[in-house]
Amino acid sequence: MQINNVNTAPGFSGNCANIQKRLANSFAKMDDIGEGASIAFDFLGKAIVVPAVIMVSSDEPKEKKEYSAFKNPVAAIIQLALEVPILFFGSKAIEKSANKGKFDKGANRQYNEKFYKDIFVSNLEKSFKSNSEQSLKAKELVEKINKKGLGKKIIENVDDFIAESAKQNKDLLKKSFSEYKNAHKKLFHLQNRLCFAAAIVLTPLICGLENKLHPIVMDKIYEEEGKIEKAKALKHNKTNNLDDKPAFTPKISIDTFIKQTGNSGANI
Amino acid sequence: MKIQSVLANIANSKFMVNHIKKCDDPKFLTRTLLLTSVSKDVFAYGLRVHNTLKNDKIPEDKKKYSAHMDLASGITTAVVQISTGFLMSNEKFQNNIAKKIFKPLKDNKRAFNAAKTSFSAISTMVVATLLAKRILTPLIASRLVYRVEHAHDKNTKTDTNIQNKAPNVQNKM
Repeated sequence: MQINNVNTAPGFSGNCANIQKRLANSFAKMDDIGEGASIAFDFLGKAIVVPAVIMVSSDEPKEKKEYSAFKNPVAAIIQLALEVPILFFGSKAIEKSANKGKFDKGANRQYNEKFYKDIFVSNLEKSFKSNSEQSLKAKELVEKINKKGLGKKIIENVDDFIAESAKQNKDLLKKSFSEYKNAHKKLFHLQNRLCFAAAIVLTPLICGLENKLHPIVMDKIYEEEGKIEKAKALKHNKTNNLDDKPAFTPKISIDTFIKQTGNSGANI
Repeated sequence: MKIQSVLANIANSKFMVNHIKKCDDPKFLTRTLLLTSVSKDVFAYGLRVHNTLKNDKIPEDKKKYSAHMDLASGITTAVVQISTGFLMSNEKFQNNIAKKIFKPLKDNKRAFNAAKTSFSAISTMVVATLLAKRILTPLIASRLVYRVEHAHDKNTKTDTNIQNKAPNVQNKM
């Protein structure tokens, strides 16, 4: 069963129906959201959306809200430069250790994804005679698993393949694939929990760095703003002089002004 | 290696094994992810308040406002994220939306479920991490801080007014 051939019974009519059909199909074919997308989403939110919302929504003076708002991009950059690589490589290291059997406890290999993957792949290869159509399909699946690991689409493809295979192979493949999926899931959850613990440990360090860098960044910003304002003021004064606009200095003395107005105001 | 043996002990501990078993339930998993995210944010905001108040390099007039913003953001993010996250992970709510949006897939159960799973993940990410955490939280927090700071100003103003209007008893005596 392939998801590509979808029975379409539109809920809307005309153009709306087409849009709805396309939307439904693209969601159906979509793979899992990667960690990268999630990080990018979080970074953009923290670096751009939060300061923008604070600047727009708060009624406080500009300088005051600016100071608080700009803390978020500083935090986002530290997070991207420090937390994300540590957690990424930490997660990879956990995966490597688990696959090397470092987390095995005797016969209990619940986190050893590679162990169960190897069993499944060898069962898959053994089950079919070479050059048969199914053997070619099995080879293709093995290649995909080795390249991309266990994604949503690959799980669907393997499930379809097992469903179509002969009865004598079906049970063995089903069992070994289920164990492989289970180990994959358990390792994924373990990585997430250990990364969460690492993130909590890293938080004081990140907040401390943010606390040191934020005032420095703000001082730099104010310094630059001051320079720009000075340059603007200078430019303004220069253009005033170039235009030869009347200066505020009186052209006649106050005494002559009083005399003239005292005699007759209309003469001026 | 020492770290590896510590991690192996944690991974095989009774607590971790039981916890990972429970993660098979999607509802438990979503709520665990939500609570871990909220607890990390609240911890970070708490540290930010503490650090800001102790930082002598921040000008006094901005220090108080900045600390108030962090405190209000910490409280607001917890409330907003938990409520939106619980709403988004609600099976009935997701089913109703999926039935409306993915009507063209209603005869293909597998495609419908695949679309529903993707939609659930994306909508939770958009609503909980962008809308709730990044838009609603600063919006509500900045309003809250403005009210609190200006309520304080009003109180001090009325106090000084009362003091000014009060008869100077010392002089009269």
